Amino acid sequence: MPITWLHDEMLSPAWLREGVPTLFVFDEEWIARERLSLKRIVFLYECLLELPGVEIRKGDVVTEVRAFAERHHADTIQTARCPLPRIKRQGEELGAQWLDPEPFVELPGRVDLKRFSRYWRKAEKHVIG
Amino acid sequence: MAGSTDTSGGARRPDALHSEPLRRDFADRDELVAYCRDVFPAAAEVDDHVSATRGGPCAAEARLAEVDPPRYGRTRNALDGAVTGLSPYLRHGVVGLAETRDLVIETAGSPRAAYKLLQELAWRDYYRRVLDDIGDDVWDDLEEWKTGYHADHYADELPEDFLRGETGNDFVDHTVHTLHETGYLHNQLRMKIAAYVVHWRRVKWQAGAAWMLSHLLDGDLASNNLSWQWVASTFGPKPYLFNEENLVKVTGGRLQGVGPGGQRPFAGSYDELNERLFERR
Repeated sequence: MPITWLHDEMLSPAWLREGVPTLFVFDEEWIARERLSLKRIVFLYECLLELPGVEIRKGDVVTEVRAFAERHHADTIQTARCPLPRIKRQGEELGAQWLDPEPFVELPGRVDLKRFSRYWRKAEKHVIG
Repeated sequence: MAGSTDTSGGARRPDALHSEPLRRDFADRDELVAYCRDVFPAAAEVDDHVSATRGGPCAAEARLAEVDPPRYGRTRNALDGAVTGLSPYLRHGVVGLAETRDLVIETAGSPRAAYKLLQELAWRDYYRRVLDDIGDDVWDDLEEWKTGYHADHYADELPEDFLRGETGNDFVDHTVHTLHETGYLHNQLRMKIAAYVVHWRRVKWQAGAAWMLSHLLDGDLASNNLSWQWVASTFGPKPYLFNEENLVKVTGGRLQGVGPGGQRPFAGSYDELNERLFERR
């Protein structure tokens, strides 16, 4: 049985699944390192309060998610793929299964990211048509 | 219940204190805010303001319902233009980029009619792709500075008068207070305050980027840091500048950029400002 580890880039009801225990952890290391102010915490918290059934904790993310998975006898930790290096590291440490959000635009082949203009030259026809 | 009983006869183990989840039962916002202050004292110490902007899907839906793509295209650069206010929700995945793209196209009637807004969403997608590639290097200068100076010519920390919003310059102080109090800045103010920090005060963009991440409800490593780098010129072909005329125009005359004693640090043509602020190599 899976659990869902909800991180701070996926605070949408779309990620909630009936019968799948779901956890969000306020990452204390991140909050301290990026010196998050109170208004950011309150905003995050309000997002979470509108997601029914999500358990909310604070502490070390990997420790808390692991303990949550054990309590629920889970064999899989699911989460959404995201480019934040902090989340990538934590997900890798947890052996998480990455679920892909619907892409904004699918670009075949290698994309030159040196400048936006180069990306947009390729993306524009897919986005605008 | 945490703390209600202790039958062991001894002190509770510290980890047992963490065994209770955080609360979900709040009578109102005031109670939630008081609880957050209590549970996250360090965050309250950084800055104790709470934004009028609410988190959650309901607030996001209300914002989405008001999106007007053609008006956005025409007016977004003005301080009172039809900006969407969606960024805090996009940042936290409360609404998805693809979902927003579809809704924007539907509202406008065609992708062409929503061109500018779709392009802004594309910037977000672009910055995320770059972050995915470079990871923690997002904190390093991605390219050399094109200001004629080197990184070590720039200070590591933001000046105290700036952080207190007490420079005496109406534009600077207004922008600092707005960010601290609301967690939001119009994109024009973000770019301009970044240019002020880096080019007028000659402070490393990293200090400014970290300052914004502490406060912005949409604080996002990708868009935030890469935009600061773009302003600084370490992720773009030249430094971004603005002048007084442009400031007055986008703010509808509300902000003049005038400092104590009538100083006008932003006055002049772009050529003059380039000459004054940058070192010719």
